[in-house]
Amino acid sequence: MAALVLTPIFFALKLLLDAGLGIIFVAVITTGLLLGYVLRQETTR
Amino acid sequence: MDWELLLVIFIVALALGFDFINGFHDAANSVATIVSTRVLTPTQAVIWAAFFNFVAAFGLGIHVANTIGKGIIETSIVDEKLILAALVGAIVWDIITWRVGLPTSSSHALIGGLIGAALVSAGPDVIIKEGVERTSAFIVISPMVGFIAAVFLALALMRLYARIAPSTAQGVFRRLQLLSAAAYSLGHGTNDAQKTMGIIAVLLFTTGHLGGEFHVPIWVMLSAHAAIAAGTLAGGWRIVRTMGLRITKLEPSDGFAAEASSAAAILFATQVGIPVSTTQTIAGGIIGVGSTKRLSAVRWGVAINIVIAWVLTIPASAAVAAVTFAIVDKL
Repeated sequence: MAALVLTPIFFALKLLLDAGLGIIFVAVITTGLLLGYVLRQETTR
Repeated sequence: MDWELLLVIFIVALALGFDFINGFHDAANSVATIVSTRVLTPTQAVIWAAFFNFVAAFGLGIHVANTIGKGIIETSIVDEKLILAALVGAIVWDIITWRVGLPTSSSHALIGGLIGAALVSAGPDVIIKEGVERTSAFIVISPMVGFIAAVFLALALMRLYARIAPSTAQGVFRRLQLLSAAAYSLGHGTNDAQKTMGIIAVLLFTTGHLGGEFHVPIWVMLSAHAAIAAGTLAGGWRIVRTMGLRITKLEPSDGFAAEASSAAAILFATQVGIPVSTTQTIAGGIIGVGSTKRLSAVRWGVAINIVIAWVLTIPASAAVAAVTFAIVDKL
């Protein structure tokens, strides 16, 4: 299960890093903030 | 024996001491979750973590050592004084932040130390912009990746958990935590020991003790991993005494998700040659797991302290190293 979840995440990271430092930076921060927002909505109901 | 060689030996010993302290400080990260879930006793956990810190010397590459050794500043300006100043900058900043309780990164302090000493020694032109940019970006990226991966893994495990009896699931995750803790200690060992390897290798290279081509000798690899493993063992014994008071109880599945996702994030950074903070990455993983339960339950004070550490560490350790270099250079 862990491999199924983590492997695609790290393949995506490798692709983003190859695409450029600015791209991986913006993508990771945006995803983290979005995830935080969604979790806040879901866990404070 | 000439004084120059004695100075090189002293700086190598200082670098290994820095590595030992790194293991000592980070022992809590390596054993906290597995002890709090009662999978291993504190003593067993410390030995488990130290063993995998050392095993990391074999087969995980030296990309981070190369980045530290020749990817942050031009090797042509490196000498004993510069490495000494960089190490003093990192160690002084680590001690200051340890006293005030800021969760700073020894890695970032070391990079700040190199930059500060190099700026005073030869000016801004010798700073390798690409290496500094990649490392600086990953100061933020690495804990965020730990957070994201932990959230997805914790959510996936929750779904899995719902289909099987809680007692069975807990038993499975208790065993799996042995693997995730080992993976985290491997990641911690390889990424952190390689920083020391890089510092020692560049010192030996620029003082003519390494031959014509930059490489990391096997004795440097083994001694750096032995130093971090010994630090983990030493730090761990201290934790054995205080463990009962300090550790918050975690479910085995939470510990597994936090450790596995942080280990993966650290190993990813190691493979692409980027030095990262193992402490801040596992903090990201733990915050991620906590966020899936209730975002407001996360201790945001810790997260805020990490952000303060991001902003302060490189400039502050650079400043200490710059002053140290200016003093040492006059001697």
